[in-house]
Amino acid sequence: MGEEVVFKGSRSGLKLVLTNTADFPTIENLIRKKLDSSFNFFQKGTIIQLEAEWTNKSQKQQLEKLFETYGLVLQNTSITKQVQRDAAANNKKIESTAEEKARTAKKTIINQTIRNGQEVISDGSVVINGNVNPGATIIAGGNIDVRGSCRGIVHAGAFGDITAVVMADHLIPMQIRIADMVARAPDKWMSKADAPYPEKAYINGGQIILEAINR
Amino acid sequence: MSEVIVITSGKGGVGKTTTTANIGVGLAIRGNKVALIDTDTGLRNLDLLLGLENRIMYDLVDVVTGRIPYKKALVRHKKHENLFLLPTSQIRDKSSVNGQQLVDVCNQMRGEFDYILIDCPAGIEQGFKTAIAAADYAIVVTMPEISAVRDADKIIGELNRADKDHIKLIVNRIRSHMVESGDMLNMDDINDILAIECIGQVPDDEMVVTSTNRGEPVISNKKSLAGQAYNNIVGRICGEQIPFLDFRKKSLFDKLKQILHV
Repeated sequence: MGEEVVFKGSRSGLKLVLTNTADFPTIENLIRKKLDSSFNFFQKGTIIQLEAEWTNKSQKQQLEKLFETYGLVLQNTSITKQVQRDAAANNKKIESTAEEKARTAKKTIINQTIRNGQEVISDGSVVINGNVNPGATIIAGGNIDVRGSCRGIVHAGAFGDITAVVMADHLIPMQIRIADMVARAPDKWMSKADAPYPEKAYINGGQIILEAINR
Repeated sequence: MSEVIVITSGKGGVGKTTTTANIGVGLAIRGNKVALIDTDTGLRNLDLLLGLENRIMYDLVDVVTGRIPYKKALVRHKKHENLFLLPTSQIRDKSSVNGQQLVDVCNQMRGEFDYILIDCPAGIEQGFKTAIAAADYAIVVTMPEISAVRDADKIIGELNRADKDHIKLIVNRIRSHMVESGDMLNMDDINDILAIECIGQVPDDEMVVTSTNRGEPVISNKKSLAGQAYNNIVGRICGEQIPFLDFRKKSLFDKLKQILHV
C-alpha cells in the first residue's frame, strides 16, 4: 500500500497519480484516508490534477465529488480533454505571449547611480547607466542591464520569466534573483577586481550561472 | 553673497562636528567671516569643540521662535575674531526647529557672512531634513568602513532627493597602515561606490582627541597631520588646487631615497 495513491508536487501544481494495481473502491478508500490524515494541509480551493488514464468517466466524476467534499478541485488530464485544453491553452498562450512581449518590450532607462535605500521597480526591462550600490534594489519583469558596477540586489524576471538575464560591467551583487531562484554573493568582501570584465547571469540547468560577455 | 554649506554623514561618530569646527576655523584664519550653526538640538557639541560653552547666552530655538534677533545669539570665538557660533538648545529636541525656519535665519545671515556652515545631526529624520533645507551645497563626511560608506551612500541619495546635487566628500579617520594591509577600505573602493568629488582625506590622529578636549580645533596645530589635511580642505573649498597628503609612515630608507631623489 502507499504506491497506489501518490500526491506529487510539480512546477505546474499538485498532481494525483493513481496506478492500476488495485481496484477502484480500495483506491477511493485510500484517497479518503490520505485526505483525512492531511486535513488542513491542503488549502481550500487547491487545484489537483488527476493522472490516471485507466479510470473511466463515472469513476473520475466520483473522484471529483470526493475531492469536492474536502473543498478541493480535481482536474482531469485525460487525453480527450487534453486536446481540447491544449487548443484553448494555445490560444491563451498567443494572448499571453503578446501581453508578455508588450511587457518585456517596455524598457526603463535610468541615467543615474542607484544608491543605498533606493529601489527601482519596473514590469519591463531596466537599463541603468550608472552603478547599483550595495543596499539598492532593482526589480524588473524582464532583463536588467547595469552599465557600471552592480553591487545591490537585482531581481530579473520577477513575474516568473526564467529566461530573464542580469548583465553588468562589474557583476558583484549581494544577491541575484531570477524568477524564483536566488544566488547570493560569497561571504568575503568583493571588490571590482573580483569581476574585472562584463558578465551575464541566467538560469541554466536549475541554477543561476554567470558567464563572461563581450560588449 | 555668502555660501551656506551643510556638513552631514548619516552615521554618527565619523567626525561631522570636528570637521565643521576645523573648516570653520580654517576659513576664518584665511580672513573670511564665518558663522557656524549647530543644528544638533538636544545633543549639541560644536560649542565644546570650539571651547565656547561658557559664553552661550541664547540659542537657535530662541532665534527661530522670534524671541531675539539672530545677532544676539551669536557667540564670537575667543581667538578668531571673524568666527561666530550660533549654538542650539541643549534642552529642546529636533522638533523645535524646522527647515523653513532655518532657511529664514540663513537668509537673514547671508549678507553678513562669507561662509555659513551648518553642523547636521546624525540620522535621516527631521533633524537632517532641517539641517539641509538651507544649504547651497553639502559636504558628506565618511570613514573607510563599510557601515560609514553605506550610510554616506544613503545620505547622498537623500540629498539628491531634496534637489541638493552639489555634494562633496571628506574621508575622515583614515588609518594608512590598515588601508595598506587591506583591513580598511581604500580610497578607490570608496570613490567607486560614492562617485562624488572628494575634497579631503584626513588621517586618524590622536591630536584630534586632545584638541577636542581642549576646545581648540586641530587645524591650528601645525604639527598635526590631520590639521594639515583640514587646512588643505579649506584651501580646496576656497578654490585652490592642492594635491592630497601622502600620510603613509615612511621608513628611514624611504626618507633617504626622497632626499637623494632616487
